Amino acid sequence: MAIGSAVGTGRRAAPETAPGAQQTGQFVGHLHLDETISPVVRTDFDVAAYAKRGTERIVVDSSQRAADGPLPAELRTTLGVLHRLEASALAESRAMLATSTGHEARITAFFATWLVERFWQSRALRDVLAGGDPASVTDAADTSEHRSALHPLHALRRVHVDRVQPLLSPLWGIVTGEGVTAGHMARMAIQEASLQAALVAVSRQLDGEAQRVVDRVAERHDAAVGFFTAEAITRITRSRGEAISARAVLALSSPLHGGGLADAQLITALRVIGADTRDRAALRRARFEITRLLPGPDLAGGLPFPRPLKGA
Amino acid sequence: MAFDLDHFAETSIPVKYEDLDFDTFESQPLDDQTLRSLRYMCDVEFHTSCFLRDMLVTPSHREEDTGGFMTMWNREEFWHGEALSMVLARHGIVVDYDELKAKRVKLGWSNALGPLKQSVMSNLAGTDFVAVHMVWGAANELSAVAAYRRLSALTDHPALSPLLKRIAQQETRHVAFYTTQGRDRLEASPTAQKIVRLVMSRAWKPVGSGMMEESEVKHVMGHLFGGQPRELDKLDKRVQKLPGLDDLTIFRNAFARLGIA
Repeated sequence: MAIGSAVGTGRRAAPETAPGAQQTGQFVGHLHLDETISPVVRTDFDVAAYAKRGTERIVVDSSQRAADGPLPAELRTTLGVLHRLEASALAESRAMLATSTGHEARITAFFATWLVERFWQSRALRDVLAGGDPASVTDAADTSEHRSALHPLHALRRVHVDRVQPLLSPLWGIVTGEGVTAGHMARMAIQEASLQAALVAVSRQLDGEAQRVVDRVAERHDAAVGFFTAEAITRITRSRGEAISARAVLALSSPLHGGGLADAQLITALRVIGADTRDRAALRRARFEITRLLPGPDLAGGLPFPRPLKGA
Repeated sequence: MAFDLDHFAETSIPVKYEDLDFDTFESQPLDDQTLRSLRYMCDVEFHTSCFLRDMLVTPSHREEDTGGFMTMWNREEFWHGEALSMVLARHGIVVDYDELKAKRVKLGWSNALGPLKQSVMSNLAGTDFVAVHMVWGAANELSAVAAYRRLSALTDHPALSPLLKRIAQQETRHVAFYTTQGRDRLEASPTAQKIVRLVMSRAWKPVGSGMMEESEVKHVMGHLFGGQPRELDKLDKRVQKLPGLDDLTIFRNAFARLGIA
C-alpha cells in the first residue's frame, strides 16, 4: 500500500497548492515526481503495514532470571557481543542515510520502525545480562576493555568511522549512485539473518527466562530478515552494476562488525555460536543467501569462524 | 528532572486519527492556503530521516539517551508525516514513496553535503557541538508546536483541527527532551554557550528552511504567523530561558529577514 494514496469516492482534482503541481497525466497530484526519477523498489514486503504495527519492549522477568542462576561465562560473553551488535543499528543507519539510500523513501519508512525494534532487542539482551543493574552492561563495542584486546589498527578504524567516513559517504554515494543501496541492503540482510541464526544457536544452550527472552528476540528478526533480503535480491539481480556495488560494500567491512567496528569478543562468541554443525550451517546460509548472487568468488572464504573449530 | 529514556520509549505511540471522520474532507474540503501549509508540514515531517542523518555524524549518536531519543523521535515524526499525507490524499495531493524520493533527489547538492557540513563543524567544536543540536532542535520543535496549534485554530475543521492538536501534543515531548538536554549542556560549558549563541543568532531559520524553497517558507510562515508578533515573542522567551541565551530573539529576527512582522 503506497502511503498517501487517494482513497474514497469523489476525489477532488489536485488544487494548485504550489507552483508546478501536476494536474493531469502520469504524475497527477505529484509536485516533484517526474520521468527523471527512478521509482522506489517494491517487493512483496508490506512496509506500510510494518510501520503501522509498531513494536514494544520485550519484558524480562528479572526475578526469574536471577532465580535461574548465573549464566556461564562463555554464554555471557556471547550474549554481550549479540547485545552490542543489536545496539549498532543507529550506527549502521548513519552510513546508509548519508548516501543515495537515504533518498529511498520506502527504505527510510522501514527504518523508522526497524530502528525501534533493534533498540528493544538490544535492551532485552542487556536486561538478560544485567539482572537488576543495567549500568553494568555497555552498549559500545569498543569500550576500553574491548579495545585493548583488539589490533592497534582498530584505533585508526575508529577514527575513520567517526570522523572520516561522514566526509566520504556523500562522495561515495555520488560515485556509486543508487547502486550503493544494493550493497547496504545486502549487508543488512546478512547482519539480520546472522543475528537471528546466532540467537537461535545461543538459545539452544540456555534455559529458563534467558532462553525465553532470546527466543523472542530471535523471532523479532523475521520482519527485518524478510525486508532486507527481498530488497537486496531484487536490486542485485536486476543489474550487474548493483551486484558489483553490493560486492564492493560487503568487502569493506563484515556485517558482523556493527557500525563498521569489530567487537573484540566476536571470535570468542563465534566459537560458542558455531559449536554445533547445524548452527555453523545456519550462519553460512545467512551469508550465502546473498553472496551466491554476487559476481566472483565468495568473500573471505565465506565463513566467519576461527580455525580449528570445536567439535568439527 | 533527568530524562527517562525507557519511559519515553515505552510511551512512544502513533498519533491517533482512525477515530476522526476524514469523510468530512469531502463535504468541507480544505482551502488552498491550508493545503499548502499542510504540504509543507508533511514534507518537513518526512524529511526527519535527513535531519537524523545529519545528527548521526556528530558525537550525539554515541550517547545512550540521545541515541535512544533520536530512534523514537524519527519514528514519531514519520507517523506525523503519514497522518498528514492521508489528509492531503483526500484532496488529490499525492505524497507517496516515489514523491518523497523525488523531493530528496531534487534537493541535490545541498542535501548531499548536509552530513559533511555537520561533520566538519562537530570535528571543530567537539562535544560542545551537541549543545548546538539540542538547542536548534528545541527551537525547531517549539516552532512546530506553535505552527500546528495556529493552523488548528485557523481552520477549525472537525477532522483536521483535532489531528493537528494531537500532533502538537506529541511534539511537546520532543521540546521537553531538547530543552532539557540543551539546558544541561549549556550549564556545563561556557564554551558551548558561546558556540550556541553564535550559531543560533547567525544561522537559525524557521524549520523547513533548508529543504523547502524560500518562497514556500515565506508563504507558510506568513500564513501562520503573519501579524502575530506576540506568538514570536513567546517563542523567543522560551529560548531565552536557556543559559547564555538570555537576550536572543531568533524568531523575531528570522521572521523579519523573511519580511514577516
